[in-house]
Formats: sequence, C-alpha cells, structure tokens
Amino acid sequence: MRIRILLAAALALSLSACKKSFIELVPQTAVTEATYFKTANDYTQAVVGSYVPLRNIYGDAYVMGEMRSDNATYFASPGLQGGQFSDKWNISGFLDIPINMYGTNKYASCYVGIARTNAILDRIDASTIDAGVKANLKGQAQFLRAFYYFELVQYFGGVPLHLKEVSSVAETALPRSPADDVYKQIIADATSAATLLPAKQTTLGMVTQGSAKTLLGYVYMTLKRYPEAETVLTDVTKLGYSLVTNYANVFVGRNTAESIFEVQYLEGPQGQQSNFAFQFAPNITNIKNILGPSGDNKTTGGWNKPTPDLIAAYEAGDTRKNASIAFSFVDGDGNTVNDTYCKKYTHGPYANFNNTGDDWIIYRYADVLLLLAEALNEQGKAGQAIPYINQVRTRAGLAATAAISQTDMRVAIAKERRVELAFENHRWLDLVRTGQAINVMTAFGATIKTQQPYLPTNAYTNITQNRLLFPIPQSELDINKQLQQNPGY
Amino acid sequence: MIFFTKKAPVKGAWWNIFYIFSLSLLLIVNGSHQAIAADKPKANAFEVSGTVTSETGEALAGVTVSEKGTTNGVSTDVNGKFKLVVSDGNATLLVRYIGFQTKEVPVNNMGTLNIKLAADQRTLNEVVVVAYGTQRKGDITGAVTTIKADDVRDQPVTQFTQSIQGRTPGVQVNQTTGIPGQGMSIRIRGAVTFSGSGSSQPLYVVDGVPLVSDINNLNPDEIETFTVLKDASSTALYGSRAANGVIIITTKHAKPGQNSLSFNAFYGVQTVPQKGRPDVMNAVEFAQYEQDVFKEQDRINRANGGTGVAMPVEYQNPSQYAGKGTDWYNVLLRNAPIQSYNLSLNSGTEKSTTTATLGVLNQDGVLIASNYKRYSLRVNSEYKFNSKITVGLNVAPTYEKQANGNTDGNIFGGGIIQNAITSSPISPYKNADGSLPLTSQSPGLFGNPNWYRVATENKNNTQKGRLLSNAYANIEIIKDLNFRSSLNIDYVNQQNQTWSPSTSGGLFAPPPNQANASSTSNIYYSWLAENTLNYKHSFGDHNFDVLVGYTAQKYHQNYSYLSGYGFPNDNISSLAAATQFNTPQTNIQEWSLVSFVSRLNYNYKNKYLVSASFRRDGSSRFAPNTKYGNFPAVSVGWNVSEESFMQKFPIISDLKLRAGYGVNGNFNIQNYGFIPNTQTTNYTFNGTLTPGTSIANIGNNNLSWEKSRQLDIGVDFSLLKGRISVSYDYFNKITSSLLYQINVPRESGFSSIADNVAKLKFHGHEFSITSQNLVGPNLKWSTNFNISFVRSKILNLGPYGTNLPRDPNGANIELIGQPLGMFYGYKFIGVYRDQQDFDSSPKYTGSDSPSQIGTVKYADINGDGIIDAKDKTIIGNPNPDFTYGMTNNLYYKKFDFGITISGAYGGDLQNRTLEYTQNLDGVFNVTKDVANRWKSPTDQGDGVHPRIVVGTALARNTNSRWVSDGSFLTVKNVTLGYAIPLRRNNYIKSVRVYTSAQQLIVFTKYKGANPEVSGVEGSSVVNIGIDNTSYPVPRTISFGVNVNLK
Repeated sequence: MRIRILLAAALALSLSACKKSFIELVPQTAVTEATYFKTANDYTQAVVGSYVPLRNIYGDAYVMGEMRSDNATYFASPGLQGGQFSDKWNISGFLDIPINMYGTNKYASCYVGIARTNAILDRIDASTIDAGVKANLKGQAQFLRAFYYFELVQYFGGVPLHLKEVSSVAETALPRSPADDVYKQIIADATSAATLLPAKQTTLGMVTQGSAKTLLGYVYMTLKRYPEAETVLTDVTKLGYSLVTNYANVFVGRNTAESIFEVQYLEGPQGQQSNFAFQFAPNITNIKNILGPSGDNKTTGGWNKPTPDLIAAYEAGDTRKNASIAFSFVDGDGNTVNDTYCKKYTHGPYANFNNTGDDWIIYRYADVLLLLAEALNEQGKAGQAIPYINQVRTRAGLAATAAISQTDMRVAIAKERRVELAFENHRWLDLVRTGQAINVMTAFGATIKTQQPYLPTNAYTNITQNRLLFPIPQSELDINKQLQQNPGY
Repeated sequence: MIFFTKKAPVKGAWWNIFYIFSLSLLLIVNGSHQAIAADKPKANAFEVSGTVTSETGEALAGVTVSEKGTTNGVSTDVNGKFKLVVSDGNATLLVRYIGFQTKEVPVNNMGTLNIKLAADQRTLNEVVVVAYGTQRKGDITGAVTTIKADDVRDQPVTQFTQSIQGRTPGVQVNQTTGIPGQGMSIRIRGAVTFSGSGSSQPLYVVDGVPLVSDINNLNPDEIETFTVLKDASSTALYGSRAANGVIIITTKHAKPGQNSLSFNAFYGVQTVPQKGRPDVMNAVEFAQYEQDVFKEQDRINRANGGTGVAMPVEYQNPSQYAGKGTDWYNVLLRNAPIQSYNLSLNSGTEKSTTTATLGVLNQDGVLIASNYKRYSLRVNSEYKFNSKITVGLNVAPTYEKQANGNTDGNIFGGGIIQNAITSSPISPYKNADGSLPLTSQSPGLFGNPNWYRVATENKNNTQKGRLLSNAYANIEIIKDLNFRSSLNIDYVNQQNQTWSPSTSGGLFAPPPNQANASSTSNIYYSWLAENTLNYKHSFGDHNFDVLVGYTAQKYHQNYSYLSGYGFPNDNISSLAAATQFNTPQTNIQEWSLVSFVSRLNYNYKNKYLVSASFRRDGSSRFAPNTKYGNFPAVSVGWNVSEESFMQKFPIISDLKLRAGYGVNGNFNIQNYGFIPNTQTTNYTFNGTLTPGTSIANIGNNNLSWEKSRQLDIGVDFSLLKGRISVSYDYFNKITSSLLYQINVPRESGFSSIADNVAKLKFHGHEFSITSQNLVGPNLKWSTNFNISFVRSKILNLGPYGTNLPRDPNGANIELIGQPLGMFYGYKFIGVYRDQQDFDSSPKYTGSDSPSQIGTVKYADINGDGIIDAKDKTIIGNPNPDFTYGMTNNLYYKKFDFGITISGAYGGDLQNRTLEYTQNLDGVFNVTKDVANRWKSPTDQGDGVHPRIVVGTALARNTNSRWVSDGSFLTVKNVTLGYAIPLRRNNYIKSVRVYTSAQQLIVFTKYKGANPEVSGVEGSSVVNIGIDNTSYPVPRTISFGVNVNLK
C-alpha cells in the first residue's frame, strides 16, 4: 500500500512538472514589467516614481550649482580628506577631474529620471486610461524629461539623447547629440507639457503649467531667445502666483503661493528626508545647540559656506541677508563662535540627526519676475523691467531700483538675482548664461584665498572657457566608447 | 511528457539520443529473457552447501557464490550460509565478495564446503557511489576520490568538511573563520564564480538528494562515505549544477545480519594559540605613542600660527600604566568546552534494515558569548516487500542553535574583534568596582563603545530546524532491470533574532544609543521527484549498465525581516517591546528544474571501459532563449593490468589509464534575473508619502548558466599486490559565460545588467599515493600523501574592458591574462628618509595629503615622476603553488595512532587588518613595531613605518606592505586510541578510548591569526587571500570513547 501511495505521489509530481509552465516562474513579491502599465493607477505610480531622482539630484546640487560660484565655499576640515571632501573641494576650486561623485550623481540621476519618463511616454499614448488623467500624466512625464535634459545640457553640454525605453544591452549606449538637438527636444517636451498640464494640481507639489512655462522661460533665456522667453514668463505672471510677504517664510512652508516647482521631502524613517540644514551647518563635533539632536557633524556639515563677497553684495537693510546667513552659532560645549553659515534651509529644532523635512525650491515666483525683467532688459526694454525687479526689492525691504539704462539694469538684475536666489543653485548657471563666469570667478578666486587660507593654493587658477562645462564622468567614457570628453578635461 | 516535446530548436538532437537509449534498452531487455531461459540446471545436477567466513571466522552475508562459467549463482544469508545446485560434482565455485579476494573453489563432489575469504588489499572491487548509482572502483573512468567516514572519525569537529582537510587531492578545503559551526570553504579544482549571489561551493548530494541548504548541520556521525566527483565526465549527470564539482554523501545503512548498538562521545577543550594573536601596543607603549601624536599636532598647529595643542593628561605620564591596561583581544577570549554524544542503532534482517543515529553536540566558542548546539536524529529504514520490490524511508530532523556576535570583518563593518584590538588599551573594560564602563574613549581616538559590552550584550541568535527526508521504491521489473522512484524533501526553518541594547554601539557611535532589535524568518524547502530505469547486465564478457531517468525539483523560499527601536529600557530584548518599527521586508523566491538523465556504461571483460552520459536541464532561472541546457560527457578507460602481457610484470598489480571530457554548468545565478521587474519608488507630495513604481532592471533574454568544459586524463596503478597504490590526474577546464553584473552606461537609466561575460582557464595536476608500509599482525602502518597543483588564467572579461571590478579600488583585481584574484595596489619601497631622498624621489601631490619627508614611499611604476593611481600594479598572488596533505595511521596491538597534516605553499595573503593597526593618524591602537617609525631625519626608524601625520591618505591605500607569504603547514589532527581488553561480557563487544587533538599546531611565517583565511566569498568578484580579521580557529584537545554493545 505504502509503495502505491508513494509511486502515485512521485508520478503525480513528475507529471505536474512535465508542464512547460513548471519552469516558467515569475517573482511573487515584485511586479514584472510585462504585467505593469495597465491601469491609470499604474501610470500614476510610474509618474510618481519619475520625480524620485529629483531628491538625489538636489541633495547635493549645491556643490555644482553654488559652491562652484562666488556665493559659497566650505569650512576647513582638518584631518579629513578624500572621498566627498576632495570631490567637493575640487569642484569649488575648479580643480575637478572626470572622476567626481557629484558629477556622476547628477549625470546618472538625470538619466534615471529620463529612463522612467521614457517608459511612460513609450506606452501612454496607446493606453486606454481616462483621457483627462492621461493628459495630466503625460504632461508631467514630458516636463520631467525636459527638466532632466535641461539639467544635463547646462552642466555637461550635448549628451546622449535617449527618447525610448532601453530594453537590451545593445540599446544602452548612444553617442552625444549636439546641444542644439537636446534643446530642441527640451522645448518640444516642455511646450507640450505646458498645454497638457493644469494651472493647479489637486496634489500640491506635482508640476503644473507654471512649472513648464518657467522651464521654457529658462531654456529660452539660456538660448538668448528673449522674445519667446518674455512670452512664456509673462504667461506665468498670469497664473495666480504671488510673493510670500516675509522672505524667510518662503523656505518655511511647503508649496507656498510663491512656489512654482519644488523638490519634496519628508522627515522620518521613510527614506524621503532631506538634510540641508545639517550639510550647511558648521562641521562641529556636536550640533545639538544649532539644530537640536546630538550628533557629530564633522563629516556631514561645513558646506555651502557664505563668502565675504556674497555678504558684501547685500545692500544695507536687506532683510534677505539675515534670513539667508547666520553670523554666529553656539558650539557643542556652549561657546559662541562668530562665523557664518547658510541658514536658509534651517528650520529646527529637528528630532533626529541628519533627517529633516525641508523642501528645496527649484523655481519660484520671485525668480520668474527677475528672469522676466532680464528678458525685457535684454530686448532693450529696461523700463518695462523696473516694476518686476521692484516687486522683489520691495519685499526685501529695499527702495526701488535706481537703474535706468540697459547696462545698469543688467548689473542691477544680476545683483538682485544673486542675493534673492543665494544658495538656490542659480548663481553658477546665471554667471555662465550671462557670460560673466570667467571674469567674476577669476577676480573672486584671488580674494577668497586670502580670506580663507585653508583653500588649496592651486584653487581658482584654472578658470577658462572649458571649465564652463563639467566633464562627462570618466566611468561613462570607459564603458561607452562613442562618447567624447568635453575639451580641457 | 509534454516538456520534452515542446522545445522545437533542439528537438532533433534530443530525440535522436532518446531513441538510441530506448532502442538499446529494448534490445537488452529482449536479450536478457533469452539468457535467463538458457540457464536451466542440467540432469546430473549436484547440490553443494556451506558457509563463507572471513579469515578471522566472521560469517559473511551477501557473498556471491556462483558456478564458474555460468550465470548460476546465489548469495549467502545472514549467517554466511548458502546452498547451490551445480551442473555436476566437478564444477568450480566462484566466490566473490567486496573487500575480499575472489576465490575459486573446486567442488570435488563435496556436499559441504566451508570457504574462507582473504581480505583484499586491492580496492578495485570496492563499490563506489557515483552520480545516480554505484560502480565498481575498477570500472570507474572519471576522477573520483572516496573517503570512508571510519578513516576520519574521532576528530573533535562540528562539520564533516573539517575532517576531510588534507585528505582530498584537487579539493581545497579552508577554514576561513573559527566561528562555531561555520566558515568552511571548499573549492574543487579552483572553482570560482564572479557573481556575489552565486557560489563556488560544490553540489552536495546526500543519499541521492541534491541539497539546497548548506551541509554544516549534517552530523558527521551519520555519514558512511564521502565521494568527491571532480572531473566533468563524473559530474555531468548533475548537469547545470555540476561545474563546481559534486560531493556525494552516503549515510549509514545497516546490512542484513548486522545488529549493534554503539555509543560515541568526546569532550574537548578549545584554546586560542599564542601564535597569530595581534601584537598591538600595551598601555605604556600606547600612551607614549599618543604623546608623540599630540606633540606632532602641537608642532603643526604652532607652525601654522596657532596657539598649540595641549597634551591630554592621560598621556602625560605613560609609565603610570606599567602592568596595567587592557589587552582587548584577551578580554574577548576564553577556554571553551566542546562535547559530542552519539548513539547509533543498527538492526538488519533479511527482510528489513534500520539504522538510527542520535547526536547531541554542544560547542562553546573561544570568543565570549558564542555558542553552537546541534541535536540531530537520522533513521534510515529499508524494507524488502518481496524479492522484487524494496521500499525505503530516510528521515533526518536536526535542530541547531547558534549564538555569535558580529565578530569578523573590518571596523567599519562593525567587526568586534578588529574594533576591540584597535581601541585604547588605557581604557578599562571593567571598573575596579566590577561595573562595566559604557565607552572606551581616549583623547584623539574615535568614539568607541566598550567592546566587551558589545560582545556580551548584543544578541545574534539563530535557530535552524531542518528535515531532510526521502522515500523510495525499487522495483525489479525483470531480472537486472530496475525501476526506482523517489520523493525527497529538504525543509529548513531558520529564525534569527538580534538585539543591541542602549549600552551597546559601534565605532563613531559610543553609547548611549537607541536600543534596537530585529527578527528574521527564513523558511525554505525543496522537493525533488526522481524516476529512473536502470539495466545492469552482462552478456558473456560484455557488461552493460544503462540508466535513463526523469527528475523534477522545485524550491520555495519565504523570507521576512522585521526591525524596530524605541524600547522603553534594556530589560526586554524582544522586538515585542519596540515602539517604532522600520518598514518590514518580505520576499518569496522560487526556482524549478526539470531534467532528463541518461548514461551508458559498457566494458569488455572489465578491460576496456566506456562511459557516456547526457543530461538535459530546463530551469526557471534561465531566460526564454536559453531555457534548456544540454550536458553531455564521455569517458574511456583501459585496465592495462588485465592484459595478458602484463603478467610479465608481476610487481604491477593494477594499472588503469582513463580519459574523460564533458560539459557542465553552474546555475547559481539569481532567480528571475532575466526578467525586468518593477520596484517601489515612493515620493512625497506636500508632506504625504505617495506610492511610486518604476522599472528596476533591464531584462536579458539570453541569461544562462555558467558553462564549464573539462578534459581529464588519469592513471591509477598499484604495486606489490596493492601495498602501494598511486593515482594521478591532469585536468584542463575552460569555464565560460561567468555571470557578472556588468556596468552599462548610466545614460540607459540603469547602472548594470546581469550578463554572462567572463571566460577562465584552469589546469592542474593531482597526485596521491597510499602505502601499506607495514602489514604485520601486530604492527600496521599506512601512509597517504596527496598534492595538487592548480593554475588559473583569465581569458576574457566581456564586452567592456580588461579588468574587473572596473574601478579597481579594492584588494583584488581580475585582469585578462593573469591568474584569478591577484592583489592590486601600490608597491611599497620605504619612507622618504630625508630631504635629499624626498627631493630625488617621485611624490604624491594630491591636494588631500601630499607626500612629506617621513611618509610612505611607493614605486613610480609608470615612470611619470609622480605617484598616483596609475602606479598601482600587481603586488601579490593569492593562489598557492600547490596544496598538500598527508595522513599516517599506525596500529600496534590494541593501540591506534593517526596524524593528518594539511598545507599550502606559495600563496600570498593580504593582511588588511594592518590598514588600521599600522595607521599613523593616531586614532587607533597600533602594532608594537610602529614604535620604530620615522621620527626625524636623524632618527629614521626601521625604514618601514612612516611618520605620524594626520591624514595618512596614501598609506591607507592597498599596498605591498600588507602582502606576505601565506604558506602554511598545519597539523590538523593527531589521535591516539586504545582498545580496552574486555573479559567475556554479555553486553559489551568492544570499548575504545582515545585522545584527539585538532588544529594542533600551525607552521607559517604569516603573522596574522589564520593562514587559511583565503577563500572569502561574496563581495566583488573573486575576493581571495584577504585577512580582514576573523574569529580565531582554536586548538582542541579532546578525550573520547567508542562503546559497541552486543
């Protein structure tokens, strides 16, 4: 009897195993690509996932966006070197080489976002989801793809232009496209997004028509297509945005009336946190008296330190100075230290070390007003620029601008953008866009080394046209032989 | 069988093979009917009966007694008795039994014959377990090594793999760590894998069941034999799992007539030898060293215009610590007991047999708070239903309990040992009042917890229950044609709990910390159904053994992990008391495998041997384009000694030449690796967590197993009637399609893709000799010596480059044209002795920590005048020139003595512990020889140790100063036993007492704790020969007893 049961069982198992499906197993705890992208919810989640790289990019975007400029350097950190330290120092002092984690992170994270939006845009037109939902989701995906490519083209120049999902090793590598082609694609995507997206999203924080038009405005300004910039930026002023009364409060709340596009963070253990307050705080052994929790901030903090040059740029009575910069702090032993650090993103006390919920604003209304002023002024309409620049000055507690001529206005707008948007990753790109980078940084470099003697002696000695673009990461050149490095690296 | 017919592209080839097998099977079956019919007894038949015994008078059951020149024969019963009707009274009986010399006995019209068989020194007739069956040793054509468990008994070890160290040519067995119940690495013929998820460990097959879990928990006392299948022709029947070699384990089965009860026990004490302990500074030396560190910092500070750095009070008077201070390594150590008890019951009748083995093992670790316990039971039963049908059931439950902290590895991974030895010796682990300090802090050092507390208060407990069982039926359909069907289950339930109280912590995280706990559950099982048909028959001098079979296996794993924090206090260490929980992790993994197996063994007069096998595997792990793999093999042998011309050379008793070639694979690639999955990528909108999903990886429809093609040529011979036997093998193996997560351009949105890329070549020689030096009645002495040479070479590393990992910052590099796992880094040539030396030497000029007088000096390999990453070069080879082992056994009257040594010659080791214990930043305790460092141009020290300088950037890079010769010779085991003479006794058959020493002494120039540390798996590519500090392997001295009851 036993044997019959046994044989029957063995035979039954064998026969069941004879089915071909027996060796066709799919994961039970993960959804495969083949079964995904069916419902509106699938597409919504895919779009949500396309925002995620923003967190990575903006977590340390200040290194290339602000510390490269004359706004910020870093604290001395004796005894520490290598890794993040030399990579940040090198970018700040124009000493960077193609092996740099911040360049790699920006490059790779942008492409993660691009791949995610490509996967959506490849499929969404053919999908049968609700047309309204579809338009909104497609608009968001197109905006994000345009935004990631704009980030790439500004920092690296022409890059490989992937517009379809990569589904095999063979498709992973492309040669660099000319910057013009990349810009064409950005304009196409952003223009389409501007028509598909609503002026206001039900879910605050999702991109809107205003986000897309601001992006377009920046693109046109970068390409010096001022009339088109004027058009789209003027559109933005009609979308209901307004300046927050108190400048400091722009960075306290989330998604305020002034906010146009903002990277969203969440404090806590969900892995959605930011840590700007800790990165920009002094690199002291105990941070408790500045930010709340006890913790050694030696390897986290000390970055984006305001330069004397920036501090001097604030006019007397400018409320933005004290909202952006702290001039003293209390160290872990309770001693007051007179030194400066960026406090724009500090809204403690925080519950946990290195874990905050502060958002990062990419575009806001004051930024648009100043950019619009610049677009007008560059077309010789300095007079029309005055009300826009004055809106921003008034909020800062300053009198109307005295600039009248195009040249004076150009200087006034540049200065206003510098202090209004200090530490918001605009300064370096503004210098490059306006052709001031080499002059300004050369002069700045000579001074700052006397003010901060711990900076390397060879810092700021290699500021050339080639250094206006960052190098393509070496790891990419090693793998994709079709890529060519930017000149000078 | 739908499965075999659906796959179109390779159908043709497969069907051909299937037809050939089916046809040959039919022919054989028909032929055998006729053969049986022709064997009727003749008219003048004569009946002969009798008993067969050994020379010592023991009745032998199961001896084949046949009439010479016919197929007419019987087997002896449990009392050694037989009865046979022969054709006439002048017939000759052929008496054959395994392990005894075959005897021809003329009947001479005698009705009763009492036959004595002499033991056979030659081993040709031994039956050896091979893939899906057994084979006479003399007929084997592959590279196979068999070890009998009896030959390795009595060693005070917990894992059987420890007891085969030094006994198997071609098999490198390393004990990489001394953690109780863990740490054995086995590589057969240099097997490697590049994939972190993969494994280069061999396939373990227990009583025919390929295991899916490890073999650590197998009680060595349950084992009868180990058979190591090394070459492709002997392993190919395991197809896609055979590339790393196969170890077949047979457990003990009682024989008919065997009734016994035996009890084995030992108790031992484990100690850590003095040799190899870290030679870090004591409190006085350390305080002096730190005083120098602070003086240097003061000098630099003043030179930069500062106001100076105060000398901490702790370092102002080093001599105050004379005779005081903490030896952290010693604090963690203890002498620890190990004990083992085994009870075995054997009961066999003609009808049924049962073997039961009950084992208890308890090993305390030599590091405080570590322990390993194992409770095991195995019951093997077989029942002869009738003369045609046999059924069997093997059931083996085990339960293991393990407690061990995070002892091994480097300080940043939290390794307790390395952290403890680098922490301050002036800081006490225990206060004068007996209380325990929370931290171990000294000025200038990083914040540390009290590592004694970490070792004793952290919990990391694992319980593992396992049920290994199989049931089978064997049906003799017609004579010599057997159908076997079996169902096998391997079930494991593993639970782990960790706890770290608020008083614990880590480097940079001195307590108080938030207490945290975790709980892991890992339940997995595999079932395997096998159906095979076997026909074993001889037609005159033509001997056939044909096998066809079909198997199906499925594996299922259910994993979950939960962790939490926010405990109200340290009183309750269970996760139940946590108030905050991290996101739980769960995972289900499955794989399935269906296979067709077939083999034909043929020999003519046991002289000319041919074996051909074929396996076809279909696996869920393989991608759509590569769903099925074919694994053929063929081998031939020639028993030259059977030739008549060899009678001219009576000194040569056996001589066999053999050659084999085959293809096999390694399917240890990840499940679902080829499928593009989605992953959770949540985002936050306006403070609300919002679910997001993205594609996680690029699919690969060509992903397949790692392939291995191997040629083996061997010779076996014995001299002087088997007194000396020698075996030699040469092998040449090409392993290709090695799985590696290759980097792809980041512009794709992904960083890597799983692909089959690398190609390696191995070749080697294996040699073993066994000699019965003395065979006298009172004094017996035998020696076995074996030695193996393995060479590897990397032929290809895929589409994107010449080295792996692509960005070589690690310790090892895989470089085309080089052996595996070469050490890669800077070549250390001393320190910059003085200004003149500094000016005339190439320097590192990086902004972080440029070279100075007194810092390390590396060779400018590329000759460009500066030292940078381009000067990294190969600085060592971790692959030994050869590995070897020797065993001697002596028997004198009631005494027995055995000694086994094991060693390796020529491989380098990289002692990465020195990165910390010779770091000159002043943040760790350092080795004593650091006192001889460069201090000034007039006090240049030993020229090896550089000056104190904060930020010794380049000195911390992998460099040749950490590399040294790792050759070793270890006396693995020495056992002395004595059989106590007993008076006539109704209960006890025999009693033997013994003492056994394991890991008695290690001879090596290597200064680290364990020269066998090489063989670490897992991280990047092939990470071998790296010493990151591991649990010491103890010396064990034990006393034991074997009692056999009647």
